[in-house]
Amino acid sequence: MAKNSRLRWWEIVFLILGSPIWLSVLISVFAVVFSVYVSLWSAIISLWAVFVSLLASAFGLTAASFILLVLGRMFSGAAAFAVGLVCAGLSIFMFFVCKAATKGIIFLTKKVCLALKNCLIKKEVA
Amino acid sequence: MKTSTKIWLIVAAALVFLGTIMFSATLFFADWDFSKISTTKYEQNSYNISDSFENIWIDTDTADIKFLLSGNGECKVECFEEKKARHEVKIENGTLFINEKEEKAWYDYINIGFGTPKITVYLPKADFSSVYIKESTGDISFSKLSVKDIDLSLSTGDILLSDVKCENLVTKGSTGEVELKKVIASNKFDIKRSTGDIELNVCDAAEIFIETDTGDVEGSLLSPKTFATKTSTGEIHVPQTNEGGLCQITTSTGDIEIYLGEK
Repeated sequence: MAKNSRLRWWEIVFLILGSPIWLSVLISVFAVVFSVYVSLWSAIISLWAVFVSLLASAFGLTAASFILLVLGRMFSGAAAFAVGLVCAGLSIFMFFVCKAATKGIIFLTKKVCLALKNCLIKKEVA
Repeated sequence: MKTSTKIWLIVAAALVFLGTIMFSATLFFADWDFSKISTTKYEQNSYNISDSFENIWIDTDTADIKFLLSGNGECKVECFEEKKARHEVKIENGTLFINEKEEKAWYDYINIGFGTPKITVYLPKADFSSVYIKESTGDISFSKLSVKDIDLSLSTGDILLSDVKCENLVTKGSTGEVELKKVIASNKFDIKRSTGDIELNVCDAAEIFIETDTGDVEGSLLSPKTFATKTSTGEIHVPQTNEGGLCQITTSTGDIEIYLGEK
């Protein structure tokens, strides 16, 4: 037979009277967890932004190098092409870093969600 | 690790290696002169000023500004400036105006640049009514001048003044540092910075108002002051004097360290 989960009247009274304490603690705990989570995602977004910047720089510098070479500015053109190559290489490295970091944060999210679910919803005893 | 990942990583390493070698080779052939790979073209222009003036008004962006005494009573403005951002130099109503005239298209802002524009003003005398300078990242330095009102407004540029006498010194800025050496104001210093440090060496003013966010304030004053200091988390070390003019220093996290006399 399943356990009666209904609260007694004095439990309800205690919950209501104690709400200024437990509710504020609960809100602050959620706020901390949420802020940590948002911070982690901010870091991920920043990493992807670096990747996009490197990729854009690679394309931009390579295009600019051809224009500079056509204009007869050999040193500037060659330097722009060289830095474009470096940016392209770094963008490939950055892509793998971003991918791994994103996978990691998704894995962490799943774990945290499962842990919270287990905390809040208890399995009924058969 | 997947084979495709390995290939991509090898390609990336090769690109970085090749780019580095190419860049080094380019600099080698350019005799390690970074200005040769710069896409921004600079030129040196000189403007001779024959009329007299009492005020100096400069509005520019990135140029470092320096005032020097000419020594021969003549006035000259030398500008090391971008071809597409020349400065206009003129005298109007007893004021020397120097302002940047940009003729840049949007694509001119995308460039490889290593040079720094410079404005050097050779002054015929050392006394002026006012100096007003507004700029962004350039530095300002001058010495051995006597100016009634000094107003310097800039963002990340540094200010270095030495042996300067004035009535009022007002300066606002963001991250640039302010270094004053033997600067005496008969009325007030009003210095505001965000993260830039402020250093006063053997300076004085009837009243001093300094405000920073994270920047430190330190140095030495010549006369006792009534100190009104305030900081959130910074440390405060000021003389325990309650005479003389007001010296109000406010910071958020910056430290305050002031001595009397020469440090």
